[in-house]
Amino acid sequence: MSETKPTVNPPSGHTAHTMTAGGAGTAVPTLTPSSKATAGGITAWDNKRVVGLWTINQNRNSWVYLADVGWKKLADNSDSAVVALSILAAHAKQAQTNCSYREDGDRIREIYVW
Amino acid sequence: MALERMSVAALTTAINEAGATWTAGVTSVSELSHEEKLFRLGAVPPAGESLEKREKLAAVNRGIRAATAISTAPSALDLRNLNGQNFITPVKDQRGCGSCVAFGSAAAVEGTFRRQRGNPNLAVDLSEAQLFYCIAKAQGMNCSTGWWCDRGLDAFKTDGVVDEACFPYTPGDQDCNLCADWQNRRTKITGWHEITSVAAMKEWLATRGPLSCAFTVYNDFFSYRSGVYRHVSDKVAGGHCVVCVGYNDEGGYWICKNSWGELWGDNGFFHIAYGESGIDATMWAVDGIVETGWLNNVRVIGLWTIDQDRNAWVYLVEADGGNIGWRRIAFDNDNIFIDILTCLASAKLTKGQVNAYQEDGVIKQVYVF
Repeated sequence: MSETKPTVNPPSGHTAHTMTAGGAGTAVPTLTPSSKATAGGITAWDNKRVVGLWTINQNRNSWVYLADVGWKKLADNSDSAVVALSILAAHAKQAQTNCSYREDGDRIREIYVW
Repeated sequence: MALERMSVAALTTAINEAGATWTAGVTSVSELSHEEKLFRLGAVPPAGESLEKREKLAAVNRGIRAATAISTAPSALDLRNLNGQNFITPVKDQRGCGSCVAFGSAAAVEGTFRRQRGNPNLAVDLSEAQLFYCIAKAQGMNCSTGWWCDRGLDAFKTDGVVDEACFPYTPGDQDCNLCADWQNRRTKITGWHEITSVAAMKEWLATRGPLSCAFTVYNDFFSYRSGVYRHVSDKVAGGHCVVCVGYNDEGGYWICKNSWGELWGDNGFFHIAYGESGIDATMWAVDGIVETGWLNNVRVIGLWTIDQDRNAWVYLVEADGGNIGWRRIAFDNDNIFIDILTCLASAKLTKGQVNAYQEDGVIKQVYVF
């Protein structure tokens, strides 16, 4: 079955850009509250507000709408990973706080919320 | 070679003739007998290593004052006064037992704990007695044999060490006499590693915390009062483990905390020249602290996750703003992981009070109010 994507954009105030799709050791967080505003090492961190969420009754298919960016799919490599990313994205939306995220292969792979 | 009592006048002359810049005097240990002085030490390198080899390794660092040019560390740093905050726990006294490794190791972990929390007032006082009379003893060591610095940090990683009140230190070989609930009072570290470059040592001190280190003690060191120590006596007393708490490039020295009480040296501390007596041949860094027990009345200020199975972390702070840092969320199975993460996300949103139980640094249970 082909992958389903969100098709509706947030009501206003945010320009929808291109909607992206596609896409052993245990990592640890490397940023701290004092370094959160800066790039950590070689990783470029984008800071955006979450203005929309979308999901559907398909395995591991959750998307987040980032202000000035558009819809981005959350990593779908494991049940716990996609749920954890969804929880953080939902929290960022509810708290209206910036979400620092790392994107790779058209998937949001890593999120900080402060 | 007997370690005789040294005349302050003769020692001062020798210091001046050598062009050294430290001051000698009668101290709390300078008048001790040969045997008593040996009990103030206790760092014995393992097979394949030696104090002589360490001195040769460190000698290349003599005169280094510009090492920070290749690092981002400041040119001077003192963890006793980091922006007005003192992250170093009080000076202790090992007295008549070659247990310096226990003191150097515990001091490094205590200071790292305070830095990790960002809280100079964190009440942390770890049991040198358990380190030495339980763990070192189980390895066949005693007050006369001494121990080696990395073994002390190994003990923090594999066994964990209780607080001082659970097994208070007194000098002299004795039974391992831990308190009843000792297993719930242990502090563990995530790991340790050896640092071999001066620039990396400074970087670690500036960003992470104090470093355990060892050097050769010459007989004149017992008479140190102040200034930048360079040995002018050729009588070796033995190896000694201490903790490095800072440095100064302009003066070309490390700042170290000794375990001979506050009446020795500069209120228990000393300055030692870069490259002197093997002090910076290597140093040992504590990677991080893991803890077991309740963290009560804390708050959530950050969350992190990544595209790996059950890998999410929470950033906790104390009610007074003191830092606790990142803690991993339990990853036993999916629903445990998701339940705890959901509770903590709720706590962050409402800025609510959290009581969290951590086991080896992993959050296993939470109350959110």
